[in-house]
Amino acid sequence: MDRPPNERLLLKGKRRIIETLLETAVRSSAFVVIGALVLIFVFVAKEALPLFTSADVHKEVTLWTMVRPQENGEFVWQPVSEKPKYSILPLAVGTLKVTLVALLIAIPLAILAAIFTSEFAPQLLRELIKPVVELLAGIPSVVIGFFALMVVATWLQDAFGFVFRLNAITAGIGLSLAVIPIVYTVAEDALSAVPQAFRDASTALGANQWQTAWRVVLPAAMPGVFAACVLGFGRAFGETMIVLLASGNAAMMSFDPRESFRSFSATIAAELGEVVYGSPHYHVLFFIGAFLFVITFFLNLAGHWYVDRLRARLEGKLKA
Amino acid sequence: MSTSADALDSQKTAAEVKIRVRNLDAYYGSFHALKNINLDIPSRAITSIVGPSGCGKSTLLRCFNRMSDGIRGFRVKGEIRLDGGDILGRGVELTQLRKRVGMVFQRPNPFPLSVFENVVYGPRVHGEENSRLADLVEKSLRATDLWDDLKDRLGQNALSLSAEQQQRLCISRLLAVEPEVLLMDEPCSALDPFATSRIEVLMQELKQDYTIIIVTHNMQQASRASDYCGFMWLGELVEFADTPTIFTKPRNPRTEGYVTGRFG
Repeated sequence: MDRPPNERLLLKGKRRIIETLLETAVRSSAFVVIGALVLIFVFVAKEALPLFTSADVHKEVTLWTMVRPQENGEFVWQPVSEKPKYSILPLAVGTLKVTLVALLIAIPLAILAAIFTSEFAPQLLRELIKPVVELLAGIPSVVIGFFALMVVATWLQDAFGFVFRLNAITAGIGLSLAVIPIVYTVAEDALSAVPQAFRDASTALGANQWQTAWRVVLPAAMPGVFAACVLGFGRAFGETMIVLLASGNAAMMSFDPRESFRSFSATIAAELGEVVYGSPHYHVLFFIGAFLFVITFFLNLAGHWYVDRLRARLEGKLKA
Repeated sequence: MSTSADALDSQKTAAEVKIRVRNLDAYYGSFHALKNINLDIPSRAITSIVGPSGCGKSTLLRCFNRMSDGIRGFRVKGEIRLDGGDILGRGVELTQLRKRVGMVFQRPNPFPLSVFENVVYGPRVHGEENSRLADLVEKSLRATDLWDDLKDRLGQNALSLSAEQQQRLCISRLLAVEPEVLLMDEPCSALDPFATSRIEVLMQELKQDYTIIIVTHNMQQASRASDYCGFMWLGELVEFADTPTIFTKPRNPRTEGYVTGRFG
């Protein structure tokens, strides 16, 4: 039996009720967020499930027919036709292509910009650059997509003479505009959080600012910078509107970034509105959604795990 | 009643002078942090600088490797010569100055890298050839008595070492760039008394080859470990002499008051 609590230390009356209410409210809002996430996944997974279980759906499409070569050795995504074809490989290639282009542009730019603002820029400039880049994150993606579609595409076609006006390079540049602010903000925070003592130690050993930034500050901020890249990847992978507008939406099985493509996310956005409810096509689209969800989820998980490891190593808790 | 520049110049000191400070003033914005400092730091000896918090002793120390250059509003006037060469001028290559005049900080601040990488950082920055690095590491770690403990753990992260080992590693890291002067800003304040006394022993060994300047709060440490001692008060160097003189027959009553613990 517990000892009775000291009467004078107990909250009484109204205050006690308010405390309890507040605590419950805070606690439940945390669960609402998690609950919403779980419910979304359950819903998407439930709609995707018939792809694995329903005999009706299997007459038209199975997981295997979605990845294996079709009759004449082709991979075609043509869900609305006489004989529907559901190869997801061109979509996978397209998504990969544009994500790669976007990250190749965004990650170096964002990280170098973050190094500049945290290590080199005078205070005033820094206080200007950071909010402006963060403002870039607030631009609706439909606006960026439109800009890529109308302006970037024209520039690039004039400059390089692309056969396809809308292609992975155009969409990748548009997409990088959405990715840069995320990577930049998180990376900049990580770099700024590196203790001044490391910089002092390096300076006192006769290193110049570049050497200090490159060999001490960046390695010390690596967990955060890596997390920034993972977040950037997630954004690029799942971003829909920019890709929908600027990719050309031709589901071509081509690794050439100068050719049009169609991404997973844009496919869902373009087709889900018109699809017959409960049709095989409908279930395939939900399968793609679940697939995107799972990939992003596990990438983030792996990213977290890796960041923790890096951090432990940097703090000396793990033997290098 | 700090020593005047002329008096110092005419003085015949037995010891060779490593750093010569003349009419040095320093300001943080409008705050006058160092007031007309005149000082000769003897070569291959330990010079301690004592005084209450905010008296300017760290500011003075940071003038010798110009660590305060980046601070907004910081200005210096006067002259500091290292082996006769001016170090405050505009053309001075700071990276080269800091290679010759190294610094150990109050809190051990090894990089979050392996022991090996910590030691070779300085040499690499100064373009040392890779073939010499392994030797340098051994030599630098031996100089601080870390070699026997760490020779099989060179890949271990430096932050997993004890505070004393970390501080020793910071000294090794500094020795690896082969400096001439070691500036130590309260190097033992984060260590326990046993570690402190072992670091003091180490300093005695190092002074055979290096000129050491140590800033400290700890009177006992100054009296035990240094050969020369300067007492600072409100930005002035009140008195500078060999350590026994400062602690047994100081000329200035303020010095006497401080070292005997009557104030400060």
